[in-house]
Amino acid sequence: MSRSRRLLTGVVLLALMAAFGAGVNRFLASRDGSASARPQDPTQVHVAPQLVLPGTIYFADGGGLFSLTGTKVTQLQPEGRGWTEPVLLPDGTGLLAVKVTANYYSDLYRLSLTGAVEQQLSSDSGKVTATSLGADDWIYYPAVGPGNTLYFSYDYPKGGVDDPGNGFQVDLSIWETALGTQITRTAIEKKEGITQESWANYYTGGDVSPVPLTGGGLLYVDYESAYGDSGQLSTPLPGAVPGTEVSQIRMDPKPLYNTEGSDGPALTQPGDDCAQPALNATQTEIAMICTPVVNGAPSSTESDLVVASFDAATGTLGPLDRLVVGTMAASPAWSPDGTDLVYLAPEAGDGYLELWYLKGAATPTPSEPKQITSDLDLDGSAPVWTS
Amino acid sequence: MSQGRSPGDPPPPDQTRTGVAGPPRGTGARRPSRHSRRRVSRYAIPLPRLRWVALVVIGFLLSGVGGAVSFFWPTITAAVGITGHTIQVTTPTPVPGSPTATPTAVPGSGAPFTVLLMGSDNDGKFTAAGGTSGFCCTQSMILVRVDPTAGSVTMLSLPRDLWVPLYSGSGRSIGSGKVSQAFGEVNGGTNGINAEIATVEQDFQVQVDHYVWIGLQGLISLIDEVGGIDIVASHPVMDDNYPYDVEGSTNPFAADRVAVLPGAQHMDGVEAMEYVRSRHDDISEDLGRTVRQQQVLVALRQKLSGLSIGDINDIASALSGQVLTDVPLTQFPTLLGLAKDIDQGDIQHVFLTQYSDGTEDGQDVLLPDMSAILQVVHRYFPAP
Repeated sequence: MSRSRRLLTGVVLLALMAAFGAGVNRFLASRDGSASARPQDPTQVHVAPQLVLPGTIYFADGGGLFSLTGTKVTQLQPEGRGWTEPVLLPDGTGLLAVKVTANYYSDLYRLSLTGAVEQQLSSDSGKVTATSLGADDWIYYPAVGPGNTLYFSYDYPKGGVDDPGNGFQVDLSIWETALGTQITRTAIEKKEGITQESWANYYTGGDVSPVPLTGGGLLYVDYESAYGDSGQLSTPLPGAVPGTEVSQIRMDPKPLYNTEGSDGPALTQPGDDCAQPALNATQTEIAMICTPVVNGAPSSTESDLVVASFDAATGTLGPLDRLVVGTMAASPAWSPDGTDLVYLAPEAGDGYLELWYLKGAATPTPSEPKQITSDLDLDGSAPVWTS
Repeated sequence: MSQGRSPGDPPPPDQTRTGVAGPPRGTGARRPSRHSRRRVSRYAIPLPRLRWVALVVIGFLLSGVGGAVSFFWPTITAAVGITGHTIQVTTPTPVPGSPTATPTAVPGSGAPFTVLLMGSDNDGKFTAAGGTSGFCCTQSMILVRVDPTAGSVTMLSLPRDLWVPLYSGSGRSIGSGKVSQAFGEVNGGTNGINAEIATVEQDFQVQVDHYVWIGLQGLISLIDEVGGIDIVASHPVMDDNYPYDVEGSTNPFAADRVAVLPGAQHMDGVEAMEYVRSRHDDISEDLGRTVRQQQVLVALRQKLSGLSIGDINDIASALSGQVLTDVPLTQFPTLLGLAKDIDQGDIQHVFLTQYSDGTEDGQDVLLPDMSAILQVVHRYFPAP
């Protein structure tokens, strides 16, 4: 080999070595795991044709509102604006949704089906300073029942205003009013056309998720100390883990309203830790989420999708049927015909919540769950499924 | 078949063709037979070429190692600051009749070992704001017993308001206080960590083999870097007096409003911090918070098990200055492997409730029933 060829060979080899080193560097950089997974624009989400569901599903994702019809996702309100908890009005002409101003307050709005804001229904912004945050309020969990009665959870009364010496109590109680009534702190304080429907157990977070019953009254979720109402260290409620708050689904049948210090009768046991109830169209089946206890603590990474029959006349549930276990299921919603469910759960290996479908949830032989979407970041609030 | 060669035989043609040299003259070495010379000529590489090949291989290896080192450089520099901080704590006085402890274990050796997890801010915020209090306390303390062979983990939360004797890292008594206050009594930092370990070892009669301390911002950064955690929030966590001190606030006493709604959700670092740190609207007070802290640790473990090598640099950079540990860097691959192998069902959660409310030094504290507490502790953690 001539000297020049050897030189050329050496240069080529050195270049290859440098390229190899850079390649190793880039290879390592490309080995991103789940930490790099990020959701994409929901309107770019692809739904496989074989997974197309009838009707329209409304959902909240990353602070925006969206609808899914067929394979097409439409943006109703852009992401990053604090929108959550969409609810369809009973006549199907519009939506209600909560808009959260993070770390301050939230308000309830009425929107068209295309997402245009039509009316602000609450004004919860107070005078925000470091020492008077109690002037702001949270409103969550809107639900509309017969006669356009609006139910919602509201963090009033609370210690910050009612009891300045005890300003740490911020519990949600359930209130009701006529849809369209302006909800303000003053109106609630004076109970002007607004009625308190539940009284939260102190320092538990309170009462949430009202579900109006067609015959009057409502279901709701009540949080309670594992030690019962006293909260003192003693024998915990059956199945409850000391130090935790457990949820129970309760019923408040009209005309037997709750009163201060008493809750409606419980449909589930403290040890079942059930929440997020959803009734089907005929209100004969209930879907809910129950959190199992694993090795001495409520699971933080698993919550089960449970279905049971419901009898509103007697206020009783049938046996709890755990249809989806071993994942982090959340916020079920029934199909318009009341036979199937959509719910939220993470995609395997990625914790962002996606839409899942369970056909025949109310039948003795439901099918295997199917994932409808991917690359979303659903916020945990319940979707709405309409025809 | 003859193995020899007659002196008059011509040289084999392939020898000249390939230029393979025979044994050096005058060495006395036997010349190879025709058969063996053929094999040499076909498969052997001449020494100069062998050198070149070796040189090229070594060059590629060095280049590859260089590429890897350059990739991991942020991790290496961060790890030097984070890991290997040795602790010097006096051995606690043994309790007569208590279970026998296993010797100090090294993660990765297969023997069970105990880690004290501590979470706090560095509390420089009070000094920076003109205050005199300097350092405060560890907001969270969890004893973790890892049994690599059994593939099990036990987490025991220590209530931060438990009123106990405090010790410095040298084992000197520094009075009584909340168990979390030993950290601040000696001005935080490494001294604070040593004091906290000594206090835990003395008061709970356990042997702490290793520690991990993480700052508030460190936990937020870690959770953000792993892409957030996926968690079932146990109940509405509402707070009108949540400390607003880790997102650029210069007022250490500023408050914020927090509302974490219950149920499954994806939390970023700030949201997860709000979930574990809020304690005002909680009827179980700090006990409820310790339950949530263990929940977040389990969710974080699940997320860490999904990481790949390409994520390590970002995580190391995020934790720089926000984490201290005495666990050597070389043991981290073993620990991460262990985290992947352990399921939630292998993790036992223990919470202490053997105390009563009381007041000491003008503070609301928890007065421990130490006899009952030690029974619980030693059920899961052997005494020294």
